[in-house]
Amino acid sequence: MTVTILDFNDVTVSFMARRGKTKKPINAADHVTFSVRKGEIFGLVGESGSGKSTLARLAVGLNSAASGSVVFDGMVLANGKRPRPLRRRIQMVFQDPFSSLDPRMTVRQQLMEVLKVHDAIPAGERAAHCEKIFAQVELPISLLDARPSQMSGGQRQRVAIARALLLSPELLVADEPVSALDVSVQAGIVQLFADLRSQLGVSIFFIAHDLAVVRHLCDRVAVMYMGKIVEEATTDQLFSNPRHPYTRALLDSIPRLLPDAHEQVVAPEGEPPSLSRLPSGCRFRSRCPNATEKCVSEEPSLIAVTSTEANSSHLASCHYANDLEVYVGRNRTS
Amino acid sequence: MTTLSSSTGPLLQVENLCIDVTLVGGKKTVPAVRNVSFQVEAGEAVGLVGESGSGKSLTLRTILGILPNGVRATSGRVLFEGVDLLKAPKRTVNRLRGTGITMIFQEPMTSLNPIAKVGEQIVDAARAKHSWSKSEAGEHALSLARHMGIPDPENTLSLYPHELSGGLRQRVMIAAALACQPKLVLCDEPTTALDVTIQAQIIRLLVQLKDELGMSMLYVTHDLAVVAQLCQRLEVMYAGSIVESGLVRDVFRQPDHPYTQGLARATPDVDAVVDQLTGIRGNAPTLGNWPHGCAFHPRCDYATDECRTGNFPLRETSTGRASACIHIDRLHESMAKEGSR
Repeated sequence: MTVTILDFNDVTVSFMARRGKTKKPINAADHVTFSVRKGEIFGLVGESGSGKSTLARLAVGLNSAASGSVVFDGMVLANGKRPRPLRRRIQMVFQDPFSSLDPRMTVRQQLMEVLKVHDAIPAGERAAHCEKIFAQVELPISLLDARPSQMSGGQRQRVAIARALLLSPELLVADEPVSALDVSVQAGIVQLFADLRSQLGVSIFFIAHDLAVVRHLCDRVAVMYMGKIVEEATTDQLFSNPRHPYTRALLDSIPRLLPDAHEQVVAPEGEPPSLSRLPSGCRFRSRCPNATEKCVSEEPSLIAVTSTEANSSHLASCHYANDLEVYVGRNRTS
Repeated sequence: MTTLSSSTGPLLQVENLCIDVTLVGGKKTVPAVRNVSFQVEAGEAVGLVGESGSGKSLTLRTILGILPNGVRATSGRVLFEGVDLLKAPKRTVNRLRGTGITMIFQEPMTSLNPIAKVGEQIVDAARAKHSWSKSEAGEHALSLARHMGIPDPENTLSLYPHELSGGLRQRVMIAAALACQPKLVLCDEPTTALDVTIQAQIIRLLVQLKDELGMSMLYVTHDLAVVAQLCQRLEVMYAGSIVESGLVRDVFRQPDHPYTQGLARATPDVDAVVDQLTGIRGNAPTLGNWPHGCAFHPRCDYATDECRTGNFPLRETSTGRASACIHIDRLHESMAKEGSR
């Protein structure tokens, strides 16, 4: 039995959307169930508005669930402000290191403040601890006295990661931590997450829209569309044998670094619907090339994909997940 | 309209362009673009690739004469159909905007007028250069909108920008940009702010428009893979200079500059997994802090003492290709070794 560290059980997160004079709740996350296992890097992928950040913020207590429960290490997490000892165990890295750091404080001040507030370490040992964590994220000690404005985007994101690691959390929630960075430094940050997991054994809940990054970093992946998980599998399974048409559309849409790529631009039709005006049945049916009558009338639930691999848990919420033809990536031909 | 233009010669030719930026405070002026030369032929799509601060967007903006305050082209020439846009009178440049050269921006929400219906904005763009009546221009806008794949155009054109999705807004922007049948379209990362499925749609649209209308494109982006889909040729910029130039097909098979190689390697491949993702070590230099010699040398695996001083202009490496690196032989040697492993 695998041990989980974070479980979302049938979680719904609602926001009130105003349209004219009427207010109507919309579900940014709609009856979502999945688990992050201890020591793994779990990727949650989706486009903007799919609800992935909503779930990340829910994990650290920045959102409230309308129904369902979030369980951390066996404890049900209540909505609202959490006790400090609990906050220490779940830490977050935000997307934009330009706005998540205080521009008027030196890096050292920001790190020391965290240790002071949480009082997790005796005052005399705090400075040494900061330096240790700084080395862990591969930053030169000289930068401890710099302000964020004197640092590059990659360096700032390392500071943000250092700040999250100060309290030795068991779970790191990373909300698109590399998407604001230049390509040449992005790879280093992705590698850092991989190294931190293997060195510290910290579990990582990694939110991303870039499937290529997820493929390199994560052990398991869930794909979200319009507030629902549409597919969940190990990284290998998801990329080699995607069973939901939306996952396939995402994979096909990614521009490839190939010499003759312009001859094969593949794009799915249509745009995501509005959360306040979802199509009946399957939410993806308005863009799905395989949609049938059944997809209009009946909303699919996550079903197990019959896979050749034993002991696998590959789920997809498509009526035809087991009937789709074998996936041939658009660039696998050559 | 007088055109010195000729059937010979490229549509756009940028020669030794230098751009200076005055830093905040107004005391210090530093170079942002150095001796950049390249050209765009009629009907050709060229990618201008670089990371933030490389000078790619400033180069693009110079062409249309829309540099921000404190930024100035100090020397060089920007020849459009033989006319130097840096020296030409404002009137001439103005006349070329829309009909000769046009631009598609990254963020359609900040480039469209938030309090005008999107249809009006396409009509305005068309009427700025054509002596069309409102209804004629309206017809034109409608047919453009259809062409851009805007669903239900009669209704959509009567909406305001905030009522449209990001992808639709970008289609409206492209329609307005193409309203006067320009010969050259400048694109400043028009798909960067979009989701990947919508990005693919916009790229497909641009490829299709380019083929149908025979227009030329200069496409600025940080994403090598987007260039692969759209462009025939690319120019790679680093710290204000072009470091590599060539056909997309050739450059991707075997880069002639360590920076291009590093960039390609740092881009994670969704079709394969590698043991270790390699970025480029260090950070891109910021404005005013460019290293001497080859600006890339502090981050380069092939750098020698020779790279620390002097100038490294683009030199032809093979037909139609150029690189600023003096260690191409060693670069290719090490790539061949890796390939055989």
